[in-house]
Amino acid sequence: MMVKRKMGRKLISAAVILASFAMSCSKSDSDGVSGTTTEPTTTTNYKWFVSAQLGTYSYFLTQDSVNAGSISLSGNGIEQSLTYTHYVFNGNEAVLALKYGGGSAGEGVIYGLNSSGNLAAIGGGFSIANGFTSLGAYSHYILTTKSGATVATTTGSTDSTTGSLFYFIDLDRNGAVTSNSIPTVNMLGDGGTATLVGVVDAGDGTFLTAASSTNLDSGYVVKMDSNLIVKNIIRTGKIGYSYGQWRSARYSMIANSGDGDTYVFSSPISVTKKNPAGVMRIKKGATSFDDSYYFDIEHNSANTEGLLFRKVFAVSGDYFLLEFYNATAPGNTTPANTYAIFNGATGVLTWITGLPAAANIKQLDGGASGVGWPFATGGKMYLPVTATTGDPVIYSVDPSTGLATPGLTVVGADFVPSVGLLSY
Amino acid sequence: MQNYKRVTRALIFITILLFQSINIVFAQVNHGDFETKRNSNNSSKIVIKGTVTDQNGEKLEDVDVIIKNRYHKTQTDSLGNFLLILPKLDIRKINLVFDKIHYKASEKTIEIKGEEPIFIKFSLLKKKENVDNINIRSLSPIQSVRESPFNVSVLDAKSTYNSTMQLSDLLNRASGVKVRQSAGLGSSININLNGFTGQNVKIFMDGVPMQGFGNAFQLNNIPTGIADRIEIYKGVVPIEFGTDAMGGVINIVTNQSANNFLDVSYSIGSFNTHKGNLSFGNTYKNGFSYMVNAFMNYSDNDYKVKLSKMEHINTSGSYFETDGPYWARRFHDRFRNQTAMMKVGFVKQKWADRFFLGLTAAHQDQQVQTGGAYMENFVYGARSTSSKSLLPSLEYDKRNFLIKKLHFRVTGNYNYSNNSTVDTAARHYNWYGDWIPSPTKGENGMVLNHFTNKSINSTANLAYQIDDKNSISINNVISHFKRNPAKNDVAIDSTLLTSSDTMPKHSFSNITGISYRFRYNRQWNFDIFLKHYELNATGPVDSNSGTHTYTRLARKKYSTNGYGIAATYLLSDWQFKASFERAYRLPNETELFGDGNVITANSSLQPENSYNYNIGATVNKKIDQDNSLYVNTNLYYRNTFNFIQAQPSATTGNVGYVNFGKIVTKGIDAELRWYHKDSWTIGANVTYMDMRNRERARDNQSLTVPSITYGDRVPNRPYFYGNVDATYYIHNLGGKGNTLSLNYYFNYVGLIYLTWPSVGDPSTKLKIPKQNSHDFSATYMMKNGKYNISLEVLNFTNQLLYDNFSMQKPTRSFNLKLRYYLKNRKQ
Repeated sequence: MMVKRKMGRKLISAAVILASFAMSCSKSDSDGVSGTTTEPTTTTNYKWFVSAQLGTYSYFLTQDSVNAGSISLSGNGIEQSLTYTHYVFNGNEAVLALKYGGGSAGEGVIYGLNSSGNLAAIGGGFSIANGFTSLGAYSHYILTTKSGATVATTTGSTDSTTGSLFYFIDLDRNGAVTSNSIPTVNMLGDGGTATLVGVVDAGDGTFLTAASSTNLDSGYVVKMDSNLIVKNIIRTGKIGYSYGQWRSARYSMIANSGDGDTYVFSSPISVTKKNPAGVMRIKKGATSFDDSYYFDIEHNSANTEGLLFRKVFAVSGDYFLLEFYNATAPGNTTPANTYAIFNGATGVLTWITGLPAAANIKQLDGGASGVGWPFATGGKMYLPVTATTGDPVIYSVDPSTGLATPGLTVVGADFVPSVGLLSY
Repeated sequence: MQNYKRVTRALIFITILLFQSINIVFAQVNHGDFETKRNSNNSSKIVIKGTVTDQNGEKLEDVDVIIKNRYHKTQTDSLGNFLLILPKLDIRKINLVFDKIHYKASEKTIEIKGEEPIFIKFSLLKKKENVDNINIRSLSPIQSVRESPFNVSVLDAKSTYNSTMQLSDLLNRASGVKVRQSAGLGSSININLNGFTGQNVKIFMDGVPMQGFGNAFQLNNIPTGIADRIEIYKGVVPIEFGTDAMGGVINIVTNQSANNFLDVSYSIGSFNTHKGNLSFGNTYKNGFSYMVNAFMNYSDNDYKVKLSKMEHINTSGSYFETDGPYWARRFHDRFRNQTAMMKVGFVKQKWADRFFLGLTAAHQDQQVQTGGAYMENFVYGARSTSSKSLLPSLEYDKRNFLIKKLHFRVTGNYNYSNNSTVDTAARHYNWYGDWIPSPTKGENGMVLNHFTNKSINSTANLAYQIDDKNSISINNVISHFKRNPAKNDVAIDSTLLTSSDTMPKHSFSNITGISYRFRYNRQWNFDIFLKHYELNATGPVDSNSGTHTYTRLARKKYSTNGYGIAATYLLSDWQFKASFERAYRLPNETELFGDGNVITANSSLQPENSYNYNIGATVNKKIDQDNSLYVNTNLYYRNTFNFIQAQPSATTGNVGYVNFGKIVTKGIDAELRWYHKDSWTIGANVTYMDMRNRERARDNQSLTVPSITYGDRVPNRPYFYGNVDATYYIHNLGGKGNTLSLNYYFNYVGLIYLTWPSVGDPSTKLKIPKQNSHDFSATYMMKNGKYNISLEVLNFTNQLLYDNFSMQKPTRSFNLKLRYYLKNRKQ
């Protein structure tokens, strides 16, 4: 049942987190049925991974294609005892599913395809004992962050202060976990305690995370290495704080484009703000914001209502998928099932068409969206959507037109939280 | 200010009691309680009055007084008095039979002389029998509960006094009941009753809800020694319990014996388990009575568990998991509790049949080694919980209260419990007990949790016997529950702590029931009842402002009515029963207002409701001089709507409650027991239920989308289980009055799917395998039960037992118990 596989091969370059990169050219643009790698002697096969939710349990399914057809949960799917809330793909090697536990521990499993193309667990799973609020890929780790934790003032000290807690889930070692923390009191020099949300790989052995504190009208980005040594902290006054909110959950609003530049989005809610929702850029390897780059998204010509957004995902090239609140002046529980493609190069915002009406999208508990985690591959974004009018359907979105096309129907599921492509 | 509040609270409490006293309340009159009919025309009838005592002159209650060869029967009241009114007879002589369990049935011939009332004094001789006979034969209160029209099972606790059982272990032996325990002594339990569980099964002690008693005083930590019996009302609940429960009610009836006695016991067992019990009581001639019951339990619970995976800790400071199997001994699961229960009062006074003031003080502390629903996933080495309870109570019971045939009973309880959970260790443990330092305090989020619960319950019941056939009763239960969080409550985590955590929650419920009982004749007996439920719940509400603050308290009020009917037909050795209730369960504060953390609020919840139907038949037959048989079968049907169920969010990890779903349950419980003289007894019970999802829609937002689980068996509920027990007695072994009893107990639970059975790849289904467990005990009683030695081997085949998915229960264990029991019959 279990496969012991070396997960790390080509890992660093291939790490794709929440589908932040487009697939490399080694894969055909067809729906991933098969493709050739750069090594001509080896054939790499692909299968789609679909996670379906029913009640508090998850079912992991595989499919050759998600562009059409249907699959039923009846008699199908590897049963999982938990409601996983976050899914991260390590390229096409493996998928990591993690359960958010509020203030409590997060639990996770890692699955990949074995040589027969069947899903199999890699390692025995892992736990994030003190919880997490956001996560991202960095080097050969999945890195989780949690702010507002009680941490040691210095390593090994029994004195404690408020800080951020990081868990490093090592993909080279079947999910071995190490933890580390950093005090965040007055980290940004404004006397407040910083909140760190989001992780993107800076490509030079360091990672970037968005920081915020008492000054909500500035955007801060902190660069750290694997020992949590702060390399630098940069600030911009053009945008406000950079994270999305759903109750106590925090969502990342930083993402890398295809060429490795980091885009820092901001869309503050429920505050009196100086700066509208917008985006800034940090060029790959740069130590400051790119002052020549800024777009106002709240007053974008396509955004006539001035809607605010909550989540950001990289699609391919300079395209980003933005999840908008359905109404203006949102609170942290306002439904958000309105989607648009933002072109980072041109600043053009294109509303996605072809999805079920926002009002018909199922709301999970307390108004959370019935749209699962998107996955980017072959220049398209795949989006699992559960409407109140039918079984969950996986849509593919063409970022150039914003047109969503319905594909695979997952019969019997309450909700489809994740879809992604795995290789074997 | 504080004092003022206390005084106000006390005044409110007294007012409630007074209000209830005025609120004329009736209850079913025990059929032993009777008086001469006021307007009866005695001239054409024969009146026989009398008193029955034992050989020491002590008045005997519940003695059957039967006219031989005729269907006339009555029972003595609490003062040993009886009265028979017969139509005028042609014959000059009748034979009266006096019968009471444990006494020799005796006859007396009476000559009828004209129409004068006849006065008789009669004394019954106690049977010379072993303590075991008491155990294996039903006692009279048990018999009378069983003969009520309700679907009720009764378990005799006395037969377990020489065992090391807790009340939850005994309860698990009843038909239709499954107690699921997460680990060893003191670990949490979940009671399933005819498929219902959680909030839908309410637990009472002497008619008082145990909900407010706190963790320190619950079924999993109370030995059976305090109880006389356990009554299990399935599906249809008499008004006396004044509660909303769709599944039913479990009532622990404590030992109310007014005898003078001393009972001391101590047991030691595997996993360093120690249990002690001391109880004594005395009732003086003037009616002054007291009773003390104190007990303690201690266990390291360090049994071995089998794990499917193991987390390994590297010296470098990281950890990783590998697939097993692995074996590890539990290392942080110590449990201990101490409880003292005291009662002081009077019996058989002019102003009260019973008047008692009671005080129970309980304390427990417990290490917590595992967290969440799945044992394997988290292991703690420094988490602990503790709980204290202080429970003063008052009881007043009077027959012929103010007027004849009026029975008044009132109980009042104030419950204070204080609970805390602490985990501040900056460590990460694995199942071997190895650990590495962790960068934050707390093994699973910092926990420094401290809250107090206060509740007041009062039950008043007034019953009036209109005539021989008709009686009416009214019952009123008022309860007020308040939870006060202390500062530094819940997880100390600035991203999660909300002002909700520092705000109180309370609820006030007032449930009134009225029932009318019609005894058409000795054979037919009907009970019709109505219940009115009122609930006021107050809790912090999510202001939804986006700043995630809870700044105001919301109040939600419910009121609804339920009703039911129960009937029974007795025919010689047979009894037939049928009952129905339209039952409700109102939402609680957490379901309505959330917990400010992972449970979101839904203040639009409606009560759950169910149509509960039962039919049953019982045979209680003496086959010949040596053998008797008891067989009981119940069939039930439950049609349940609007379930309040948790709806998880698979993107946020939050959970909220919604009204959704329809479930139909059909079930059968059967119990059989065979007695052969006083030499052996064998019993068995079996439960099978078919609980199916009958909701066609996927969820409450998607009413046109079909549910894939329509018609599927409801998961994670035991649905086929049973047990067998057999006891063999060797009398006068090693001396007259000494008895050795050998007992074997077998328990079976069928396979349970954790999830909907039809969904998912069958080879990957998560399930709790079928369970077979075997226990053996030998008890040697000397001097008619004065000295007792018991040896128990629990789970002697050393099976891996699970009640819950992945939560393994103890392996084989040995226990030795010594008990001294002294009873003075008379002062």
